[in-house]
Amino acid sequence: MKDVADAAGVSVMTVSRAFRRDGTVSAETKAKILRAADALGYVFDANASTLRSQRTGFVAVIIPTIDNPNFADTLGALSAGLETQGLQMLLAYSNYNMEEEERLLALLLQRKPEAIVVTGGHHTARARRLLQNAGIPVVEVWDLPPDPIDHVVGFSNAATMDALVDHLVASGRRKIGFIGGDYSGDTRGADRRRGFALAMERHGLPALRLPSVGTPPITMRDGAAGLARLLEAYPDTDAVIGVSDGAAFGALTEAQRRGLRVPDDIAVAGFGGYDISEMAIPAFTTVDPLPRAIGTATADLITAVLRGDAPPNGPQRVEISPKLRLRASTTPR
Amino acid sequence: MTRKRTKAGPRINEVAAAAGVSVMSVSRAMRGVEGVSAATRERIQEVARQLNYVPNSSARALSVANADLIGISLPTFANDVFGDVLSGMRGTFEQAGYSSVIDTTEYDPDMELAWAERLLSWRPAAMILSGLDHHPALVTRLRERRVPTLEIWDHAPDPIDICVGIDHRAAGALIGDHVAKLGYTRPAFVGAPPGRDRRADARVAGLRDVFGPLGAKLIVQGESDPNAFAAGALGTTRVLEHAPDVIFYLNDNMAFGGMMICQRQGLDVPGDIGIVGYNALGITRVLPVQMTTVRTPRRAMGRMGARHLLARIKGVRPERSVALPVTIVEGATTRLQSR
Repeated sequence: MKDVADAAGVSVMTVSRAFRRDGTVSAETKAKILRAADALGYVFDANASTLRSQRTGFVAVIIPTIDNPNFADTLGALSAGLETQGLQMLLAYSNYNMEEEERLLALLLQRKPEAIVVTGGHHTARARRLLQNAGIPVVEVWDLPPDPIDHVVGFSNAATMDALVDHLVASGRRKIGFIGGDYSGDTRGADRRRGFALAMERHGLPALRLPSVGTPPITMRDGAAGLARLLEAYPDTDAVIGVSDGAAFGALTEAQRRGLRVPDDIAVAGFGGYDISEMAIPAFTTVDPLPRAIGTATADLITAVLRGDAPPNGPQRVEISPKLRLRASTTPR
Repeated sequence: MTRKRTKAGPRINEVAAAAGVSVMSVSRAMRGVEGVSAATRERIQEVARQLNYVPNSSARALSVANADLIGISLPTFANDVFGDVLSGMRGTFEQAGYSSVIDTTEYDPDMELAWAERLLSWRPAAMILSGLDHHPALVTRLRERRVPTLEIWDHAPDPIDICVGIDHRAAGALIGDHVAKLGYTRPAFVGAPPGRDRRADARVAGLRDVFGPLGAKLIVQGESDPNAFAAGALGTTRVLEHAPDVIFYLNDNMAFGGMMICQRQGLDVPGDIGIVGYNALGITRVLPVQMTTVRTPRRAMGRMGARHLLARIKGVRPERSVALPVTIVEGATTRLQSR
């Protein structure tokens, strides 16, 4: 901290105040200090300072939407885990909009959370800076970014498509499509589509059947419309993957409406391990990202960092391994 | 270490007394400024930690900052219904510059009370509670402190403060009447265990209001599996032993689970049995057969609730309690019965 103070030409106390955002430092001075801190790669450590007593008792969490069974499961497990430590979840949702995430970050940080959880590894430049300078543990979940800000609990969305495409190819399908949405905000969905294309390429197959329907979260209806569009352009499609299980279920109903037999005429698979994947007739193959495990691991990590007797040293990377659940919708022909 | 803070929180003079130093020394030690020795500072901070003392500056910062915070309590995250209600609120709160803290109570009034007490210590602008089953202590506290409070999803003639919701008993009677007029005489309801979900109980009461006078006994089956599809399937398996001619469900996802069971058992819908959902969720829009269900105005409820609450925060008295109408979606999972 002294180095930052020297570089910025201010006192150590001023640096501390600037990082605590307590309003007694002018915006100009604060900007100067943050620039100096940035240049030196200095990260304010609230735990090491006298601020240890300033426990607000809550953890900020930003997710894209609560209207999604996967995030609901992650939040449920996260909330339950934090509660055992007397920590309260301060939840906000960004509606798959990175600018909104940035706005929410600024708001939430004002409330002095003890840690912050964000979804995914893609953020605006300012959001990244806010997170880097927050002076509290940051956990990026549901992704394995190559350049994490701090801690990470997640999995590679692109890699989840490997095993699924391998399975479809091994079961005799070649003309495989992928139904997704508008990817501008849903970077994890975009990663899965990219992973799909890479896996197809690995098998020497073209990845052309990529209808894009609706804005995230993709509805079942969007999934149905996606299959309709896919079959118009490519009537010989013999397998289809939904970006989520909602989309996959919609596609399944559309196939049935058209008198196509699943899995004989067309195989259907999804992502998410939603309850409906098991209940549909036929039950459909899905990649289960273990959303509750993500929530539990995140709560454990935050607990260890904030309250543990031996907090982990440096940024942690907790990898969750999604499970391929094979069901009747993709049985070999 | 994580001891719960008492209601008001310890004051600076309590910390000073416990550490055997002056109030000024505590202030200095907590602010990290000079004037106390390292050893004294250490000791004061230890005492402050034990007492869970929060220095005034951050307490002040919190109370000021939370003037634009709204606390929202939901029964569960695993429910499409509340996602829609929140989406409806979103735009209104966003425009007015409010942000929200959300948590779930798993239908437990004690959990809701614990959460609300913690949140109230942050002095939020308002609280939103779902349903009407709250801990009496919470009701008293919210009324005493005059915290603007919106109860959403159910309809209460006498809310804590203000209320926007659905009269679930009337909704039950509405769909019951529609189905009774189609000529069904052996109704069943698959929902939640009695006493767990007031809305389910209200719906049952509404159905009985209709079928009772007709001399038709309603078979009621409660399931508690959080997986709605599985709960609907299991409940259906159980009520089918009583040979009903129509099954009402707590929601569409349960109804879908029930339909799958009927299909597996070789029952034709609607030829052999009628299926009636509730809410008109996304799933009813993709099924090859349109499901008979009840459309609940979830987004509209969120929008109106948010607007009324903002008015209330600003000191304007909105209508105290609003019941929004539901509409019947006449699908192909029920049909006129031949007599």
